[in-house]
Amino acid sequence: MDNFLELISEILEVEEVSMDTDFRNDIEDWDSMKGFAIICMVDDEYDIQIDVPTFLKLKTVGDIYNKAMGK
Amino acid sequence: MINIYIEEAMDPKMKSEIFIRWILSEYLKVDRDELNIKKTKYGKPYLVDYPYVHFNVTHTKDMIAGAISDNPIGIDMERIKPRPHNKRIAEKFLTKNEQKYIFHRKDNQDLRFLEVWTRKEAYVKWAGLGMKLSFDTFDVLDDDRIITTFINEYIFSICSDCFIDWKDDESFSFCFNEKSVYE
Repeated sequence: MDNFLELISEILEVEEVSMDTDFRNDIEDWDSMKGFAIICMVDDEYDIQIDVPTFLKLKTVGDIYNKAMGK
Repeated sequence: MINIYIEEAMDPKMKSEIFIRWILSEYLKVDRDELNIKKTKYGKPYLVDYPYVHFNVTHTKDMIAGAISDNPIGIDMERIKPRPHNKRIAEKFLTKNEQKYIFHRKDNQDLRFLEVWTRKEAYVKWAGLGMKLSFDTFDVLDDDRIITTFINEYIFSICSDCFIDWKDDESFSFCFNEKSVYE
């Protein structure tokens, strides 16, 4: 889980995030390109494909983590 | 005619709604609180009482920009800086033609990526479909409706049905920090 949070923090360009972070609202510099980068990261690191419509429904970092874990 | 407004913003997300109302009230010469703004089911804002006035807004961490026109319009802006995930995003979401354009030379790949990316975003915002439109289903390189330019460390793309030419000041009215850049 720590590695996942590190990867997400790197994409979001913040020091740290938690599972509760609402990435669209809590991240000051959020933009759709970061969302596309997260989709790529989950594909590359966890071999899980999240399509854009599904990603648009995710709200927190924890939601992304659950998808990455195949839940 | 396209009116473009650009402003430095410490907190663009908080200011976005205020900014939209400010530029529309300047354009329409009406009180900003009287503007009835709603969103389509795809999230594109529109003016209920002025269906022929089209507008769109974009922001980065420290800059906000808006465009108003009498035709549908989409605008996107990005700060020019290296982004480690560009290549992977391009491989997964851009067309083969766009990837070839970005990576055919080793220099300025980040810049060409942002050029294509902002053109994509401007296009989907113009179309009013947001992220519902899959990025790899359309190519933006030769689309005459989209133009791209640079202002300082920012890259801008605008998509419109109007004929637009950055060098033609009859096509544009720029407003930067409440002062025309042509003044």
